[in-house]
Amino acid sequence: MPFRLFLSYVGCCAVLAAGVGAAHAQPARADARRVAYLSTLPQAEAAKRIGAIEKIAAGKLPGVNVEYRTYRYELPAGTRMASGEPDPAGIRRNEEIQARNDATIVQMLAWKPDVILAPGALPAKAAAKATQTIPIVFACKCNPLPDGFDLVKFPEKPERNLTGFTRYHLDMVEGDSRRRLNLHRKRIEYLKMAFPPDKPPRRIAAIYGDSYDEGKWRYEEAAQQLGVEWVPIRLTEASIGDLPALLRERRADAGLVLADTFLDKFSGRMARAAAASPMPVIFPWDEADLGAWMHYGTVVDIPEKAAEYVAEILKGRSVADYPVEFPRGTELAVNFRTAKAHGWTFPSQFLHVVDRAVE
Amino acid sequence: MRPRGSIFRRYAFVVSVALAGTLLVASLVEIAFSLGENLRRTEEFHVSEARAASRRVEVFFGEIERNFLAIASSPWNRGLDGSDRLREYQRVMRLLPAVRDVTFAGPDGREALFVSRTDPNRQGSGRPVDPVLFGQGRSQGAVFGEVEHGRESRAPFVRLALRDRGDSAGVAIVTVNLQFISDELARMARRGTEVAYVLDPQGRVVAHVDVSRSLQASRPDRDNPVLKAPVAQGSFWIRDAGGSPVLAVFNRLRNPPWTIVVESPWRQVLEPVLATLYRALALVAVAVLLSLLIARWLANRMARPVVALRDGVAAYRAGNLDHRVELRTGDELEELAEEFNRVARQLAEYTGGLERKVDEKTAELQAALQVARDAMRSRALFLAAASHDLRQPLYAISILADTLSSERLQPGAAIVLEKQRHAIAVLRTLFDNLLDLSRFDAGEIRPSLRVVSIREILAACILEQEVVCHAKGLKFVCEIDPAWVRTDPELVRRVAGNLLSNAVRYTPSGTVTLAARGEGGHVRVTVADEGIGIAPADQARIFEEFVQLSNPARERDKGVGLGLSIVRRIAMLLDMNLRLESEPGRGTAVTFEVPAAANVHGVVAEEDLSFAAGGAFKGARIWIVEDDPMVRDALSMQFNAWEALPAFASSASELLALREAHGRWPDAIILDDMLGTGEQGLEIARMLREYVDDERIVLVTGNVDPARTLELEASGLVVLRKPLASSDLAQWLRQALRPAAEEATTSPARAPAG
Repeated sequence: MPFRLFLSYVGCCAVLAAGVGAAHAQPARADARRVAYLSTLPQAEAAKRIGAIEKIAAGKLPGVNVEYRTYRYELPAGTRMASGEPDPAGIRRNEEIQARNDATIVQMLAWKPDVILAPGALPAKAAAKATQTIPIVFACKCNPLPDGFDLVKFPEKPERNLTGFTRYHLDMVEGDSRRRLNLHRKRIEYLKMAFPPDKPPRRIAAIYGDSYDEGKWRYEEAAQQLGVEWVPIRLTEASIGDLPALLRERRADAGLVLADTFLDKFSGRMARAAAASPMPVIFPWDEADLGAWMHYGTVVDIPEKAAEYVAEILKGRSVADYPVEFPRGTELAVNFRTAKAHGWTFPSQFLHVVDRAVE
Repeated sequence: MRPRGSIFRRYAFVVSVALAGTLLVASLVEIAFSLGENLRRTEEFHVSEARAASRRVEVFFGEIERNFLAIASSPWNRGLDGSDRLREYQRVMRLLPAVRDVTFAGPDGREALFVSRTDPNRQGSGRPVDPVLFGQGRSQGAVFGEVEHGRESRAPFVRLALRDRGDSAGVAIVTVNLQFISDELARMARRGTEVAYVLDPQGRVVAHVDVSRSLQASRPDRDNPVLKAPVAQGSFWIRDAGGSPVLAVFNRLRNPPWTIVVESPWRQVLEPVLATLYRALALVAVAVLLSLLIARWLANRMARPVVALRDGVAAYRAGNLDHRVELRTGDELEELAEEFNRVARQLAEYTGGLERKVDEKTAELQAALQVARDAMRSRALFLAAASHDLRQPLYAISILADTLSSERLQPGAAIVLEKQRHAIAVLRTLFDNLLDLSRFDAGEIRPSLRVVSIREILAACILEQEVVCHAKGLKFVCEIDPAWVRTDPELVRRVAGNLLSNAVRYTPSGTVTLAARGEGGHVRVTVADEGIGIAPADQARIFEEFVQLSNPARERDKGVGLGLSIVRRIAMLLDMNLRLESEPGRGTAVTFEVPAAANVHGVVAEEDLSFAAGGAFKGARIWIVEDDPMVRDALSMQFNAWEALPAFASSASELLALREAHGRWPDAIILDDMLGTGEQGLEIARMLREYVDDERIVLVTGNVDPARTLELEASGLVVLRKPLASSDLAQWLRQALRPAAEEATTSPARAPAG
């Protein structure tokens, strides 16, 4: 009996200690959450990108086991020849790519991911077409509004299972709000500033790969308002290397590469081709880092932002409560090595506005 | 009596309370003070955090203001042309990424210069600027406009108007993207799920640590308690959107007139408090545990001597006088233990003497018991040995007397003969009773249960007592239900016979009643008389041996007082409930219950209860295997009287010779089990079984050897014991010859095989 009394004392103490321990106990690890990464990049590059995102997201989701799996989404091939005629081989190739993409998405959905991270408008649209329930985070350089890729109608309060962020600049201080010039005029301004004030460029080549609709974009009109002549040059995969010759052939004083899917697909080759040109060519994103003359565009820490979106949604935040985020910072980066290779000297007023020099 | 608690428990409780209780109370008081202190410090810490956030915002705008005021205040300001101002603005904008664009308006309120990050720059457009902001900027210096949101991106921004120096100076209107304030808040070292945001005077969120929250158009909330607070900084508990309590710490800015709010969930706010609490509780738990261990050790040490003494007493009480209380306390308790041990030693010595005496007496009693058992055994052996020899002449005398009674005698001789028969009957009864008593005592009588009609059991008794009652002038009433019982019929018959005999004997006049009634699972047999009755004081004695209440002269024709003693023994043996009701002068009724037989249906045929008279077995061929001439003569005379046709043989060979001579087997065969030739009746009976039905064979024996008795009973044949009364013989013959009569036309006996 005395020992039983003693045991009861010890039991009370054990219960008290257990209560204290439980209060400090770490939450139990939940079942693994799944994130599908529908990437347009080659496997090695995609692994590198998702690795960076995974690392950041892990810091935002302490104690949560998240499993990542990468699925390859192929961007479509060109369907027109350099002459503008339809390219049957390209069309056929596109059909094959479409079939592979469809199969990939089916496979991805069969894995039952909790979130789909789609770095690009096309994979995001394709995923949204296949599922209306799984949250999709897009990370694109596109216009996500209905007059663009139509990913979301109300960016402040997304109405479907799509949300995310874009590097596409939409807010214009002035001018027609229906015209999505996306820093277009500022690029022309900076390109003009790269020339000596007494020798401003008169003919600027508009370099693009996908279809270009002046009726919709009215880039030419904007260029003319800034006192330059608009010289469209359409590239195909085969003609990328011919860019310097084409610029020379079209008697362009400078080049402006339009932001399109073609550029996304062949940015490296296009940056190298432009770097080979003796005249300044301005790009829209990060191409100065790839060797191009310069780029001017928005700045977004994509891995950080992607990890933030994924983590918040895995924490339970609903898509409808998660606005689409637009870029807030811009950057004019100049590759002085390329300029130096061509013996180009920038005027001082231009150097005042350069945000970053790539040496 | 209230159960007494152990001394250990008491000591343990007292010491535990003294140590652990004091420790617990002191710790709890300390925890209470510590909690209050921690809570105060936590709130102070959060207030300082809100101030830090406010400073960041102030620094953020201060940096913008300072840079643009530097341009406005520079001594070369007056000489700046549009290109110089553009260059200066571009330089500052490179330093301040939050500045989206700058508009410089001249003293006339028209745009002189527009510098943008995203749109083309303009010089001298002459567009009118916001007159309100321009006017306020010119008069007040740094003035903030209303917070606005981007058309598509919904990014919040605010315009800051700064006046140039000089009388005719213009105003620089700087557009600041407030998402950068959100970034500033996010860059603050946040803890857990802490939330910081900035409210404008209308209660709209203009910046949020989660930048996406600042993109959502927030509605004005003038009822926000933060905005209503009369002080510029403070804290209070509110509930968040989920209803959980949060600590809201706020700090109001001077310019812009915004409020910085830092919300912390209660769990996070109280985390250090709770950590202190848990740590303190854990320490208290450990301390209490330790104090309990110490208490146990102390209590054990204090209680051990008393417990040892208690165990010693318990051991002595249990008879273990070799137990010794070992205590080495060096005080009075040790002396007490030694005293205990001395007493135990003395007790052990005294108890040892007592045990020796008990052993001696036990041995003596066992020896006496053995002597008694030997005597009993000797008596049984004597009775067994003597029974046969004593019964044989009595058997002959009885039969001879019965036979003589059927002869025509002189009146005087008949009286003498009748008295002689009576004496023989008394002798036989006495003899039977003595032998039976001996057998009961030796445990040799074992009931042989079978299903039988109660009427069949009681028939012989009725026959016997009817005659006696008639002779004594008593009225004899029989009320027997046609019931079946499962019992030993011979023993029940003895009980009924003895009770009837007593009833008749002690009833001078009136009625003697024999009744058998089926009741439930029993048949209740009652023997009632209207005799002299038994005094209540004597009712318990009458079933003892040799007790006769109304025979002080010991008249032998009234028995020797063994009948009821045998009745009691049989009732016990058959587990029959025996009950006596008597009233002096009114009579006596003795009742016993016989277990009824289950599943026996049908009506019992009315028995022919008339005693065998002369000519009862006329013409019946009866062969007797008996070597005693006296018995043979007696039987011959009895059978002749019955006009039967007896034939005698003294061995098996003579029996077979009879078979040869007569050419067939008789109607009944009587076999003496103990023949002088060494042959045994049972073996002859087994031989006869091939030719004669078992019912027609009877074994007669005077042997009381238990083994032989068992063997005879196991044979399945009818066994009659010597001395045999004519009535017993007549009853058996009646049973044996009935089938013969019925089957006489076919085969009274089977032909010998071969």
